[in-house]
Amino acid sequence: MTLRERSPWLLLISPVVVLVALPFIASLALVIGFGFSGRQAIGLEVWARFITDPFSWKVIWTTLWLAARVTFFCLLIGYPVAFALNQLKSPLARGIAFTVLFTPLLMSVIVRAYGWIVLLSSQGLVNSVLGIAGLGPFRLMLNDFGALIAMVHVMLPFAVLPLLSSINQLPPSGIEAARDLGANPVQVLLRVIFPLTLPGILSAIEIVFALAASAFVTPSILGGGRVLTLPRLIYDNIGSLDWALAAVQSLTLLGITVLVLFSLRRLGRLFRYEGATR
Amino acid sequence: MTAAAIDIRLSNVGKKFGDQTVVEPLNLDIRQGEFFSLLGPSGCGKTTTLRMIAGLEAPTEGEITIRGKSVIGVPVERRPTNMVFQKLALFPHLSVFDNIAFGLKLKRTSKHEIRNRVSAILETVKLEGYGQRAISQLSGGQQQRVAIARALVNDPAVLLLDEPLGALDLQLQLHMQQELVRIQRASGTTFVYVTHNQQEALAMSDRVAVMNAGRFEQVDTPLALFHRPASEFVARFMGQTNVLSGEVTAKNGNEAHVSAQGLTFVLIGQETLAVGDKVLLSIRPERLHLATQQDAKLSLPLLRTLFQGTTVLYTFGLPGGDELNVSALAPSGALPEAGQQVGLRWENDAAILLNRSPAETSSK
Repeated sequence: MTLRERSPWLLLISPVVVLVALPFIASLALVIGFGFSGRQAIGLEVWARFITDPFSWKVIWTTLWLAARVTFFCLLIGYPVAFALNQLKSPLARGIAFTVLFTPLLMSVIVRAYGWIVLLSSQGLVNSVLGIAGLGPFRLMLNDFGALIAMVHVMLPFAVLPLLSSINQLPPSGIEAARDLGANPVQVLLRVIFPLTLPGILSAIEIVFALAASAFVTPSILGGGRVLTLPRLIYDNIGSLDWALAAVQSLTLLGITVLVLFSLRRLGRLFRYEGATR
Repeated sequence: MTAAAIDIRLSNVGKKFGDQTVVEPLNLDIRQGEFFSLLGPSGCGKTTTLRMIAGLEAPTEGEITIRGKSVIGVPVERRPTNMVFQKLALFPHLSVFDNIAFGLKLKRTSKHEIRNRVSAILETVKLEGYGQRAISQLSGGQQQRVAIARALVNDPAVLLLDEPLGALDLQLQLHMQQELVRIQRASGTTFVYVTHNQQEALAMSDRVAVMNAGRFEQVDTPLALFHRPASEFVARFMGQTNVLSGEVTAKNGNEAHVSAQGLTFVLIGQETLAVGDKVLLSIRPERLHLATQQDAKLSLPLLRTLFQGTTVLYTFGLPGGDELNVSALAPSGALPEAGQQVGLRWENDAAILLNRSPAETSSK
């Protein structure tokens, strides 16, 4: 294509460039600038301070472990949900199911987090009901569990959407064909459904993991001070005007996320048959 | 192989979805090594019947036996049948080789044998050297042949085919019909083929069951279906035909003379017909001919002509208001103009008796 042929398309994507790419590049440049210079004059000193502090590693671990579990539970719950949604034929049933699934996204993240407090606090609904049965009270929030359950709730739709689209693309009667060729239901799942929906699974992991690793509000409110993640630390450091350290932590978070997404891409390629080239 | 060997037997097999009957209780024997077709319009129950044989649907009544053993309650993966699906349902994440080897791998066949059998079947479907291709790299006809190979490689007692040529263009359809017959003869496998295309069924099958509204209208050889349709439905389904109502005008031994809207025919071997009986006749367009002034039996106004290349379809108006189609080889010169009176001739035995006392007398 010549530039002349391309120009209408360039025009069409220009809003994306202006709104997304330019601010991203500008702020990234700024953060990198802070990360390698900052108020402490020599940037590498800040990196050393961050890397040698065992607390940093604990926070990185907390962030990754929380994001990994959120991703895992979103997939575990989202995969059957996506399958069930795909089976729904009546437009009414589909409409209701999608509304229920996507209600979390209609509410502000703060409102949602406080909603979970109503349920999970020591005098909350769950503990009250358990109390009637003579159980508890259990500590369901201001800890890791509270953050986990609330984050899975928020991010479930982001897992279901890509899963749904890949399940939707399963070849018609592919499952029946596998059964007909002698596969029992478990073999159908492992040999046909799983490999064919792998692109959706990987997309779901990418989206949910990236969102969970950078989540701030939900883990802060429901985790209390006990769940210290990188975003929370960045927020605190900006508050205490240690911008250089905040920048270093931001770059670390970005680096980890990019690394995870990149590895998933490579992994996905192993499961696709591209065909012999001749 | 004896003619008596039965591969599939349906005994009063019926299917209801809710309170809607899709397949009325059917009885049918399909012989070993036979190319058998289920032919009918969409919604006639042919695909449901096939899926019941495959085990993808459970019959609400009756019994299906394959090679003498009842398969009621046997799940699809343990039946000695394999299916070629309408939408092919090939596995896009696997190579051609792995698609075909799918069933063999599940049966824990040795690697060596898998390789031998897959390459043998690739040869049968004329796809040698295509094993490592991706499905998306194949043309429609090649994908079709992979789907057949994937089913056939498992050496099923019966191969079930659900309108597998429907998505192909006409040229390829005709080619694949010949291929299917060749593959069926080469493998000796019993084929049960579902189609709504009468040309396809007539061209390939040893026997055809014509289905309508969940019932068999007629189970017969292609030639018999074409020349001796048992009902108006079968006659119409075997391609364009003229269906006319008439009356027996004279009886001479077992010959019945009938008259239908000015056309007269002789029906042979009709002991039970009596003078005055109402009858429904099928007269195929190619059994009627354009005639010169001298040998014309009847002269009718020409309504329109349809040039079809080798042949021309002439449509005439009958006195009763019905239309009469005549098919003839295209003349080298100009076609007769619409509105002209044109003479027609035909052999006395050109009509086929469909029904003694027609319930409805429509013509198309």
